[in-house]
Amino acid sequence: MKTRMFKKADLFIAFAVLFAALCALLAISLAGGNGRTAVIEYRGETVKVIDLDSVAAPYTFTVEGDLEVVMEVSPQGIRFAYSPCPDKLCERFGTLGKKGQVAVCMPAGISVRITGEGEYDGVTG
Amino acid sequence: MKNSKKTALAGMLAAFAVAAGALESFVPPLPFAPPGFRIGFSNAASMTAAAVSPFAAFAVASVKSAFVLITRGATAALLSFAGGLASCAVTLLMFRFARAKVGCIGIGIASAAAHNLAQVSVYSLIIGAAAFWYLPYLLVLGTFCGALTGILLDLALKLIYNRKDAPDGAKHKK
Amino acid sequence: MKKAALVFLLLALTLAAACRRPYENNVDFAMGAEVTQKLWGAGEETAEKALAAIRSLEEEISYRKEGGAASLNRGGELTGGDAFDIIQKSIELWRDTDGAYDITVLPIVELWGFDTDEPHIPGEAELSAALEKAGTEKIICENGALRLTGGVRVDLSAAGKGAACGKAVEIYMASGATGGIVTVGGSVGVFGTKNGSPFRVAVRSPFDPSAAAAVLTLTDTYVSTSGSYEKHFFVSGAEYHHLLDPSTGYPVMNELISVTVVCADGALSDMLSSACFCLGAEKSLPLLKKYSASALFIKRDGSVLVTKELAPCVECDSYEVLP
Repeated sequence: MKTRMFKKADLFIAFAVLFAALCALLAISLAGGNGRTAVIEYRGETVKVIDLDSVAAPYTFTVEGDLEVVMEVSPQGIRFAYSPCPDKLCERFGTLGKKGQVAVCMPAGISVRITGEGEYDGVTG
Repeated sequence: MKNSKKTALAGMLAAFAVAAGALESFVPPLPFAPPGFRIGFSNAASMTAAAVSPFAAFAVASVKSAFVLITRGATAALLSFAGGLASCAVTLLMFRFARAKVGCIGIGIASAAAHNLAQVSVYSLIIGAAAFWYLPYLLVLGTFCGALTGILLDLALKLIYNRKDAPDGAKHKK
Repeated sequence: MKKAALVFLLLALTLAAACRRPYENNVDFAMGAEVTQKLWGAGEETAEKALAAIRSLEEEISYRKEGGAASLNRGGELTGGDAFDIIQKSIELWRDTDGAYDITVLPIVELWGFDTDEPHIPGEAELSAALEKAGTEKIICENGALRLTGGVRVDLSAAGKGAACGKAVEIYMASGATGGIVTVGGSVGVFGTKNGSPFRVAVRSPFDPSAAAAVLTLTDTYVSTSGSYEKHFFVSGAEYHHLLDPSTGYPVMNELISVTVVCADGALSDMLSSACFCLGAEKSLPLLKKYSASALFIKRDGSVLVTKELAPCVECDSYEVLP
């Protein structure tokens, strides 16, 4: 039986995968509203939520995960400013400011992502 | 192919996978890819092994992950192993059931997608659902990188199966 | 090939359906408060229905309208309906709290004028006269019918906003929505989830109305808050607020500034928040336990106390967990 480098079905596979990617992207970008909220999670648990639209001046804070990382918030967005992890991948994500963006520091178990939802859904009091 | 030859081939492919993986860490990161994203040249070796036998495929995936365990730690190894197993499974299935219909590029793309999906799933166990936000980027990039490794797979298969002692009567060409 | 394409199309449709944007509505006014609704998996029609249900509840339980509560105040009898149910719950809570929760203090509230533009300190004599007129013991329940004696009048506004949230959530449940959140004034009802994740409800800071003192992560429950900062005035530096102690007729003066109660019953969440404010944090605990409710207390000094059942749902810079 021959295996060729390329057959027509390959195109279909490529489109199917790209289509799945498109669906996933749509699902992420359609969910929620039009705000810019940074959600910081440690192992899936929300640690901190920041409304990026209401940030006036840059500031930094630390997040206690498996490692202690420093995050910097500015009107442009949020970034991993420093992590003691060995690979520093998280710092290379740069500043996240658009809905749907995500950055992760695996060794610390900390992720940050930008959702379109407001800081909260309702207010009591 | 005799079993001894299969084993030798599996060993070579595993060595190649490790070498490709090591070399890849010297390649500068793709400018638009998320940090940590790799083209996955070593996947070409795993897929070639899958064409030889399921055992060879498993062996290559294991050796690759063992090497990652030594160089990049347990988490990375777990991710590598999950991705390796998933992509091997998909490759094996496609070789078995769809060999007549699909080409190497298609197998490469499907295998890369399976790799990404498995990794993101394991990833989500560690850091939570945020991991799935990666998926769209990974799938798009994976399509191109999968096509690339598919071409490598095709070259490898031609190298192996065009030899006189090609196994199981499974001639690749002619 | 065609089959595979169909599968992908279905997958895409499911994804699109699952992640619909919520329906949002921010403009209504009912129950003397602003009503906001957000719905997942349902739309305007459901929100309209919920609003209609809230309006008809208001008609039934507001002493200012023409329904059950109003007719009871005019000397009628009540044998059922929303007003009947809320009064029954109120009588029980009155007993549970030794009178700290009392729906008959309307004459006293009117003396203080908290619902007018010019609230003021009432005179001693008129206050004690008004206290005479109050008292839940004057509500008689005989043969399944409620009636009032001794000129007493009922005011169910301490339960109204929470009960309204309950009405809206009932409509959401029946509509097939996957999630919904309704706020009526300071009460919030949450139903289901928003695309799988829980709702985030902020507890307004007593010290800065635009800030959150804490955030609660919740599904399928009700939240209400009673805070002394909502309606208050100052006379020569002393604060007077609308949360009155039924035993004295004066504003409750304890260490608390705000009480937020989470409870599986909308009306009860609202009622308990008033009752717990009057009782103080410590005495509230057995009461909350009885109603399987949990609470977040904010003290005048800004410190936050949380019952242990609620602690896992609370996001707050610093708080103390109650035993």
